Amino acid sequence: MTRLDQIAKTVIAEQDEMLRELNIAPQVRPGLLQALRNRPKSALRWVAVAVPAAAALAVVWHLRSPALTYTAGSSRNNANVGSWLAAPAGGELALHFSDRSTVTLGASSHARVVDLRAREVKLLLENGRVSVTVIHNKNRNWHLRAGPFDVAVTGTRFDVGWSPEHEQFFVHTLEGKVEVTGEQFGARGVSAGETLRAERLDGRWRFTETDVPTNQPTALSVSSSSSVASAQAAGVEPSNPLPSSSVKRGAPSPATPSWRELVAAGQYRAALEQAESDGFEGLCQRSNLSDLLALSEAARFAGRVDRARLALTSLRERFRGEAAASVATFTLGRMAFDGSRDYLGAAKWFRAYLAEQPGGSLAREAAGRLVESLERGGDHANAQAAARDYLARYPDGPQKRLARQILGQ
Amino acid sequence: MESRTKAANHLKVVRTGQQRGTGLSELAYWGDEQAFLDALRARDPAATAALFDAHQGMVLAVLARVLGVDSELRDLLQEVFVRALRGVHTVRDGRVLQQWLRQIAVCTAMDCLRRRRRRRWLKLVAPDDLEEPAAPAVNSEAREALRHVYRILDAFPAEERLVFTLRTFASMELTEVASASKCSLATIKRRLARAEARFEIAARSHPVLSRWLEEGDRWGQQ
Repeated sequence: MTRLDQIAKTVIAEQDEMLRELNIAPQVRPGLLQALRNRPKSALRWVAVAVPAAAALAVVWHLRSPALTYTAGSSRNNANVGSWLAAPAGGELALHFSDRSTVTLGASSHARVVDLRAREVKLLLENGRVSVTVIHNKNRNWHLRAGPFDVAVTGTRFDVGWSPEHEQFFVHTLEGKVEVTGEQFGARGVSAGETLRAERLDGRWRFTETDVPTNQPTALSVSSSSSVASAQAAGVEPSNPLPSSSVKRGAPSPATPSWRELVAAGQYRAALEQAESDGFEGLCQRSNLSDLLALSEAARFAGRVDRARLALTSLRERFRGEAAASVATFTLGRMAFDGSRDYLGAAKWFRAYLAEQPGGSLAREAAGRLVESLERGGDHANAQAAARDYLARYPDGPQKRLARQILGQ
Repeated sequence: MESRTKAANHLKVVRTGQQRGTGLSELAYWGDEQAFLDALRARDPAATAALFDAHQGMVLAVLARVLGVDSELRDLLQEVFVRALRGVHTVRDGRVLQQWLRQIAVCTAMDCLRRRRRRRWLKLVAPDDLEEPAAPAVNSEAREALRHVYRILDAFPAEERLVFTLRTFASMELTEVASASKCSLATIKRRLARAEARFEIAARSHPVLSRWLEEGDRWGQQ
């Protein structure tokens, strides 16, 4: 303690109270993006003449490539970037973009709009099938990612299907041309009337290209219902689903939904039961990252902490170094804290997260949880050290009171 | 090919908060700083909002400690983030975002101090005419003492005030102050010693600050 400490304490406490009263951040936040579009004040002083021209250019630019918005289904409200979009089992989900482009998810299909900028739109098809109609704009690129494949398009109409379970992919172009890039494949153009199919067998991708119209039998059917619904939505004849006898690797019949479909439908217990009958441990060993997260969620929401832990630890081991592995670490900590009340166990996970991602998006929460875990676990000495670290890094963090309390301030 | 790699990175961007009905700021980048950085460079509104939400508290605290709670704070907070987002292309490692933002906050505060000094020198505004903190009228001893602290600091050279406030009120380590002020550690130590001596002399003329200093002395001797 130095002799300035009493003054410093008062300054900090009084200022914090004043800042809370003034509540400045919410006043600044909405204007931030607007301010970014404008030039800084200092520059404006000496380039005042150029401002009207810059503003006019900005308006022209904005009109040429306005930022996009989209709505999902019958909702009139704009949907958010990153939202998980799921079409119902018996129907479709249409996404309407502000430039009149549309994306229709086939039955039981899942997708996300992961980027929505004036010059670039990115969609992620997690599974199922989509019919896409992109209104051409030379200043805007659309990308659709499905598994390891990326479909780049500037303006066209096409269908894409992806089954992570069977590792099957197809793109069928109805109008214009798309470019598909992917693993062991490079880049390939798919023009109107052409279909490109890919299937992974024995660890290698096999590709077939056809120029047959879609009303002929297809060699790949992601989901018979989605195929029909989506094709109808796109205004073409429905694809004939492949006879069940020729479907490879025992695709589940429509009567027995896969565990993924059950997770998507929110039926976590049923999803877990299905995953158990498919061999939970095996799924943990071979599932991709997204599926492992879904598995862990199914188990958590079904109340099976042990299974959730297995899925998450598999994820950590198999995808070490990936950001998602660190999220799994954090989730393991949260499960130990909230579920098992194993506070010292939770502290280990939160420490591990902070070691892996010291500046990660969950770092503040992990640091706060670490303080709380140690304190609740009875490790007061380490809780104090963690509290000091927390206050140094996040003086205004949500756990500042607890941290100060632990430090006796 | 590069754009495809970037696209792949962006595909890692997954919104977790959304499913729970939380706000934009909870957009989680799954700890993927590179994806976050890419999104910031692309002026992605959600990423911008996330950056603001995550760091506005720290930035505001730095500005307030150096300048006092001032009517300019709102503009300065915005200025820090505008500067940051305009310069985000220079950041190579997403893990240093907080440190980098703090440096910008310190520079912005320093620029503000220099602006104020120029205004005083030009006698456009006398020091006493400078806007009082935009705080509600609270007549507590502590609030009066706070106002007096910043009146004392208003008479300091900008460089000394910066070092003193960052070290004493923002609790930054000397090395952090040196790094944020882009000065050597030795310079920072010299400035801090001068500033502390100057502050103590001035504070002794104020009854409350003087008492607190004496209490601090007693604590220091224990």
